[in-house]
Amino acid sequence: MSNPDPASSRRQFLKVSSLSGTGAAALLGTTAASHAGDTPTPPADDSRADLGGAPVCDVSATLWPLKTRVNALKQLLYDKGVFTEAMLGGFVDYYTNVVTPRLGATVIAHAWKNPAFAAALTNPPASEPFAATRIIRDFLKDRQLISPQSTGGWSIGPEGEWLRVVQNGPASPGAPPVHNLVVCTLCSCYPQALLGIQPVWYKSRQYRSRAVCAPRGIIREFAAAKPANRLAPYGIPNYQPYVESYLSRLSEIRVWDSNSEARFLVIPSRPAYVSDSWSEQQMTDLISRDSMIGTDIL
Amino acid sequence: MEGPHNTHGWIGFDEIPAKSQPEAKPGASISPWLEPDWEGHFSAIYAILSTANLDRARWGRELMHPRNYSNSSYMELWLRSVALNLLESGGASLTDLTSPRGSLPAIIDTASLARASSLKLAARGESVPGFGRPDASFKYSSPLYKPGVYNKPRWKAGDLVSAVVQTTIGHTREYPLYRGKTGTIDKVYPVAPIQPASPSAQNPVTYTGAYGQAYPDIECRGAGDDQRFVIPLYSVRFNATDIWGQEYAEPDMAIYADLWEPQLTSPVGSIHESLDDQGRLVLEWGRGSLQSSPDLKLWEDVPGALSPYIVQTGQPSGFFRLRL
Repeated sequence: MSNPDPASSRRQFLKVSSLSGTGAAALLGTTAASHAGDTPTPPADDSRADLGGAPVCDVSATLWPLKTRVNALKQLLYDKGVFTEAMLGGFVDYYTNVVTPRLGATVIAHAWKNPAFAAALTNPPASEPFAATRIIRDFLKDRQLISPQSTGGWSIGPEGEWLRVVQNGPASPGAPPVHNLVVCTLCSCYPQALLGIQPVWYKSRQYRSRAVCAPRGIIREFAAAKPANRLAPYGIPNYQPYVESYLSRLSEIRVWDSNSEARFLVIPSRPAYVSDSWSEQQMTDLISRDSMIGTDIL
Repeated sequence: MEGPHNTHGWIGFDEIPAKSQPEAKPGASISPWLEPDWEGHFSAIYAILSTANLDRARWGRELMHPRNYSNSSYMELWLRSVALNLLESGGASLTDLTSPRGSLPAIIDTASLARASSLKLAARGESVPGFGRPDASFKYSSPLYKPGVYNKPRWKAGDLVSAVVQTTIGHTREYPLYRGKTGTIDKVYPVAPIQPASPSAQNPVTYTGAYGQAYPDIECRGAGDDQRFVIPLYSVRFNATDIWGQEYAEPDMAIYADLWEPQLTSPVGSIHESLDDQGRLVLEWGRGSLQSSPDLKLWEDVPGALSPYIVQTGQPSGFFRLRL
C-alpha cells in the first residue's frame, strides 16, 4: 500500500483503511501495536467485524446448512428416545388435518351470521376475560371439528388457552369503524389453535418491527400484492381503491402485541357485498387467514 | 434481554416477505412452503420442548450473539434455543450437540453455547421488577407475591399506569418500547390455578377463564416450583404517540400490550393505593420520595420507603405525599 496523502478525503480514507486492518493507523502515521515485541498484524476478518467492521456471520461460516443440522438434531432426539417419528408425525398431521385457517374462518362466519355469538366473543364479563375460549371450544366441539383429545378437554388447542376476540367495525352502533391488527413483536405468538401454523410473513422481522408503528402501511402493502380484480365478482372492479376507502373511514387502528400467553383473533368487518342470504359455508370460503390477523381487507 | 430482537418500530427492513404464501388447506399440508419432514418435524420439536418453559425457550433465542441473531432465520433461532436448553436440562451432552455423529454434522458450535451459559450466569444476580435482587442462593422473594399463590389484582380497568423502566440480561416481555410509557388499563386478567393440577379423561379441567401462566421475568430462569410466581396480568392500552412521539407513528393508533403487575407503577407525580391479599394498604409511585405527615403540616421522608410500600397496620393515622 502506498503512503497515503494525509490530506486525503474521507472517501479516500475509508477506501484505504478498508484495504487493511492497519489502514487507519497508517494514515495517522502510527501503529496500533503498543507492546514492545508486538508485530503489528492486521486482525483477521472476523475480529475486524467485532470492532464494528464488516458484518461477518459465523452461522454459515462454521456450521452446516440448517436443514442438515435439524436432521441431525432429529436423529439425536430419536436416539435418546425423546421423540419417535410417530410423535412428530402426529404434530404434522394435527396441523394438516385438524387445525388450518378453515377452523378460524368457521368461527368467524358463525359470528357474522349471529351477532349475539359475536357479542359474546367480544364482550366477555370482567370476571372471565377469556370467555371466548370456552365459547369457541364448545362451538367447535358441537360441530365435531375438535375433540377432547386434542384440547386437553379445556382449551381450544395449543395456543388457544387464553383467547381474546376483537372485532373490526363500529365500536358501538353508528360509531365510525375501528380496525384491529395482531402481531407478536418478539417472535411468533399466534392463535395457532384456530389458524394453524403461522405464515412466513408473520414471523418476519419486517412485519414484527413495522406493525407497531405503521399498520396502515402494512395493510396497503398486502393490498398492493393482490390482483386489482380480486373482488370483481362482487361488483368491486378495483381492489386497491376499495382498501383506501376502507382505511379512510377508520376512526382508529388498534395493534395487539401478543406479548403474554393471551392470543388474539380478529373478526373482520363483514363486507357490504356479503348479504344475509349467504350461507355460513359461503362466508367461510371468503374469510381469509390474513383477515383474521388484520392484514387483509375483505 | 436487550438485543437485536427488539426492533420495534424499525422501518428499514423493507418489504414484508412471502405475503403471497397460500393458506394451508385442510388435508393438504401442514403449511405450504414448509417441508413436512424437516420444517414440519422441527416445528414439532421446538413447540413441544418449549412447552416445558416457554420463557426459558424464548430467552434461548435472545442469548445469541447479536450479529448471528441478525443473520439467522426463524428456524435457526429456535435450533439455538433448543440446543441450549437440551444441554442445560441434561437431555443432551455437549459432545452430542457439538460433534459430528456418524455422517451427521454438529448441530451447534461450542462457543455459542458457552457464551449463552455465561450470560445466563451473569443474569442470576439481577434485580427483577417487583422482586429486587435475589438472595445468596439466587431465589427471588417479594412481600406482595408468593409462589403458588394466585394474587388478587390491585389495579382496575381505566387506571392510568406507567410501565416501569428496566434493563435486563434476563428475559422479559416488557419490551423497550413500553418502558417508562404511560397507558391505560384496558382489561384485568385475573389469575387462577388450572384445576385439577393433573387432569385426566375422568377428571377434566374446569375452565375458569382466568390466566394461569407465571411471571416471565423470573420463570425464564427455570428455578422450579418455589420460584413460580403467578401474578395478575393486565392488557394496557398505549396511544401510539405516547410510544413514538407526535409524528413517527401513524395517526389515530393505539397499541395494546399485556404487562404483569410488577411491571406497572403510577404515572409520575401520583400515588396508587390498593389493598393486597391480606388487606394491607399498598402505595406505589413511579418517581420521587414518599413523605408522611400526622397533621398535613409537618412532613418527613419515610425512611427507606421504596415502591411498592406496604403501610404497616397498627400505625397511627396519617397522610402521605410524594417529594418529586
